[in-house]
Amino acid sequence: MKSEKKRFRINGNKIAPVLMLTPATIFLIVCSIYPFIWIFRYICYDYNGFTATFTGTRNFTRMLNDKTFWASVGHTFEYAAYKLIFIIPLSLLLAVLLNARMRGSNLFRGVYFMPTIISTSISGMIFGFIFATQNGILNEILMQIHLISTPIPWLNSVEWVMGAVTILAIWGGFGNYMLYFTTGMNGISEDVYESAKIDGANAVQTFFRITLPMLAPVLKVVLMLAITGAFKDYEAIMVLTKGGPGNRSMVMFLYIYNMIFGTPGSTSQAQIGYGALLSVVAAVIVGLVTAVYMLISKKLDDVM
Amino acid sequence: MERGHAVYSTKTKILRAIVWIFMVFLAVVTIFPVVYIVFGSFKENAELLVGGTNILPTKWVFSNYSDAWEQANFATYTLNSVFLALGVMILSLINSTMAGYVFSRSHFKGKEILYGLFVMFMFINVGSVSLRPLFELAVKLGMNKSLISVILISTGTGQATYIFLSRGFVNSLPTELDEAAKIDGCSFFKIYYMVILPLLKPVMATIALLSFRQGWNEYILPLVFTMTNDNLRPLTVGVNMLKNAGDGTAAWNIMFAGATIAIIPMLIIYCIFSRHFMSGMTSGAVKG
Amino acid sequence: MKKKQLISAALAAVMAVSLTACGGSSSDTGTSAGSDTAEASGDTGASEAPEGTTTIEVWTEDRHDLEYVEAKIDEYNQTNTDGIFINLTAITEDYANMLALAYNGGTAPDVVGANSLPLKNFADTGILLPLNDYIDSDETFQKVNEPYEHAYEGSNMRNGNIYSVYSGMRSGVRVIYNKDLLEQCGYTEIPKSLDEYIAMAKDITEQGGGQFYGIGFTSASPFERLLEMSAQVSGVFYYDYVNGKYDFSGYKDIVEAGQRFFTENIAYPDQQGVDNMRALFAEGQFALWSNASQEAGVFTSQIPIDSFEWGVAEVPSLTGEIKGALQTTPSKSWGIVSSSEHKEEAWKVIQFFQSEDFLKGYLENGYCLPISSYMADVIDESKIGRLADFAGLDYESVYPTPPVINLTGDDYRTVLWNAVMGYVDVDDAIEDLNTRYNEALEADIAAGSTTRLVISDYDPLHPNEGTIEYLSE
Repeated sequence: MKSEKKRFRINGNKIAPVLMLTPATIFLIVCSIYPFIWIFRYICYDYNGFTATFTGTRNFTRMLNDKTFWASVGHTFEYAAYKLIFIIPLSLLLAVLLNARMRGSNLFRGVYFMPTIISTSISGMIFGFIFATQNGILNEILMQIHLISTPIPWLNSVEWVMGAVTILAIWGGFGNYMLYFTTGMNGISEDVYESAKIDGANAVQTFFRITLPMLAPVLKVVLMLAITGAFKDYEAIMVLTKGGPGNRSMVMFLYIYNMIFGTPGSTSQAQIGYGALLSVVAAVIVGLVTAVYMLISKKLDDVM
Repeated sequence: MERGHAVYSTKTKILRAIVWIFMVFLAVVTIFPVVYIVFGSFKENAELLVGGTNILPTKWVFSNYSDAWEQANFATYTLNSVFLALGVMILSLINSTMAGYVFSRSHFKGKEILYGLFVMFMFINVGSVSLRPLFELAVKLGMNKSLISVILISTGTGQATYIFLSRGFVNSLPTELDEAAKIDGCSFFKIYYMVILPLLKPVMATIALLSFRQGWNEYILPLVFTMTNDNLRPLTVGVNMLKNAGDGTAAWNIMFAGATIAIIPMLIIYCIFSRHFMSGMTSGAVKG
Repeated sequence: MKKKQLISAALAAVMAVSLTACGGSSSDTGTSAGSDTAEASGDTGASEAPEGTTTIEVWTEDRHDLEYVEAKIDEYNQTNTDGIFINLTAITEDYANMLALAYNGGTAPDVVGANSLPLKNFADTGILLPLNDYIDSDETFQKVNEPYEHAYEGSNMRNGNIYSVYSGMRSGVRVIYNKDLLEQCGYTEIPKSLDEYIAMAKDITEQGGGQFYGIGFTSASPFERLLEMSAQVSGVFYYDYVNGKYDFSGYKDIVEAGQRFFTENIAYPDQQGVDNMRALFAEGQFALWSNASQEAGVFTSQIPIDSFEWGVAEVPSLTGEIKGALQTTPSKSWGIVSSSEHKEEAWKVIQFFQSEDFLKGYLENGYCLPISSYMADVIDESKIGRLADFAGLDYESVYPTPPVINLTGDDYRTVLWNAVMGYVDVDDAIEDLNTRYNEALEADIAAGSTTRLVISDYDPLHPNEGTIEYLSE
């Protein structure tokens, strides 16, 4: 009896990790790998969801000449850059300020996090109202405080639409990154701050000499999540602008979504084969960006 | 609990005041769209659509809520959303802590490769394309008519980030704990269950919050899986179904009421978690 | 080593959004809604199907008429003697895709609202059933619906097979105008030519001085709500039926005229969603709006206009003469899905939906215009309200559906509107469209995924009366 139990345990200690990893592995295979392989079945086909016709390399030549797609890739980079430039410093600043424990900081933290719990389809809808040119509340306020003299055509001009989309992205996301940073700073030992204070460092010095270097590893992880997140955003844009006007806010994954599901109100139909090919290209692009980022951050590590 | 014990100088006081004003300003800006939704949900459709600068309704229409609740089956939708979000949350918690623990503490052949695959697919995103094959698969398995499959798929597509988080956290726990437990005769699983899991509470709370939010906000996935049965739809789908695809105008005011209903439970969940979040912080529960 | 520790510590800290204790506490409530998976009655709020009845699942994408349709179905469910229980589900998002997915998944309904389903995908693949036999054996149905008179190649008929029968009609686009504003500015009627129309809009905007504007455009498919229709009645269409290819060169004049709305600051300075623009029109913010017959219901019940008189007029053409047909959209047709196990009962449900009794009430509620002359005579015109203003014009018709192709990039409506807005040059836009549409057409014909539609005796005023040929080269 005793020996049996022991044998079981030895085996169990080998089997247990496998068993415990099984759900995650099944999820990985079913939800990530299988769809990815499925895509490859159709990249050489014209498939509208009903009938698939083999078209050889046509999808590839199409992709190379598809100006709208490549423009959307450009817009994706542009959007990601705008979003990151504002959202990372803002959320870092807020995390630092909230760490100073002033009156109401718990409330502030709650309020700042609130947009992230609202689904993007709903927030896109709301911002459609807020950004209205003629009777939108944003323009009205800006004019009341004399920041602008004529209404800004937020969603109706190629000059402004990226601004509008970026504002929505920042509003919807900064609470998330703020939360990450807050926890990151929480890991920094109090003692370090104490010694800094004894050395007579002021707040700004403390931030640059202690908080930022100590936070660097966290910052790297958060940045990576932020970059890939920004490249994948499309739902809010879909609701807010549908990629317009004149495709100015069309991002990569929105264009692909339109290919896979068909553009509503359009005379063309769903093109799953072509969309599948574009998905692969998009995945490669996101992968490359991530790789480049990892390379850079590693280089920086070595320097530091 | 205050970090600075020293008496503040005037300069510091002014600085803190400026910072405080900035925070208030930002809070107002942040909360404004939410307020806009809430007040908009009491407006008449025409007034809401015209927009304009009146935030408050000229005429309060409370029937938007009863309309949303009754006509649009919102009671059922809410229940479904809760079920869906809780399901995703629980599965994510169990799955990601187990996987994170194994990846951190177990050593077996091919672990690095498998982990590499997980991380890779966190960044390779085929987005909406994956819906079609997954739906077809669910059909083959006869699971295309239930929210269970939505929960499974949602958990599966979101798992990489959570595993990533759990593994990192387990890595930060000292291995001495495991060693001691092992000497006491604990099995691999028992160490996870008795030793590691209790220590994972902070990261579990994070995962719980994030995965609940993920399940709560799923839209396209349940849209596809619940199309044949209105009684399975979660709030996100229900709200969007109020759009009018045929002739005529959509009842935007009822959609706003639905949106407000959709926000409230999430806010409650956040408040609960946020309280724990604060207490965890002040007690300095997390030390590297 | 030290750095590594620091990294992992920091990493852990990121993850540790330090919530304590709360983690799994709610797990015990997790299964509360778990039994939801059973099939249940859909949107109708009706009771469960009684024992011994056959449930016929019906999908519709119309939500605006649900009140009437559901009431009628409840009545039918209680009174019909065939043991049929209708369960209606409204799918208002991505309808065609959902149906295709459901069909592939074996959960397709028995009867579907079919007017927006592309036949190329739903008939050629055998998802929809040809209804000819059912129709031929039912004289009452034929009398009420006149199925053969209102069968349109490519829309509800392919190679003589009828897949669904229309019982309603959405009119062509009309100009809807604010009579009070027009009068205030010295106008009594809508001009026939586009130039005069623009001039009038400009004058109104100038008189408005920022208080009101001459015309408004929406951001949702704006091209087809005025300019494309002006082009149609001027004899310009994007598909050259005689030669069987796409041809956009005719749109240049229309686009250039349309540009004036924006270069001369005539239009209301914002383009929002359709519903928003409707609400602004109803507020008197601009004088001219254009859309099809659904606006009758919108402006009488959904966003009612009480503060001014509104009129309905025909869309202007380039020269003031009518040289082509104005596109109308037949509606409210029902099809049977081939996977249905209760086809006879499904047909009975369609018979009910398209019975004189059902349609009379439906049409008199003003949900749409009648398509059959029989129903037009049966209904009480005085009950349909403002819909009467949208009654058919003698130059309105249904266009045969041009070949469905795999297009690269934007469709013509988007591109031409971009040209109107000045985002792209007109000539470039037209050349780009001609190239892309025809390349896609030729490639798809070569690949066998579509066929070339040719009508050698095509008449732009009667597009539906020519001899239709499908060529595979």
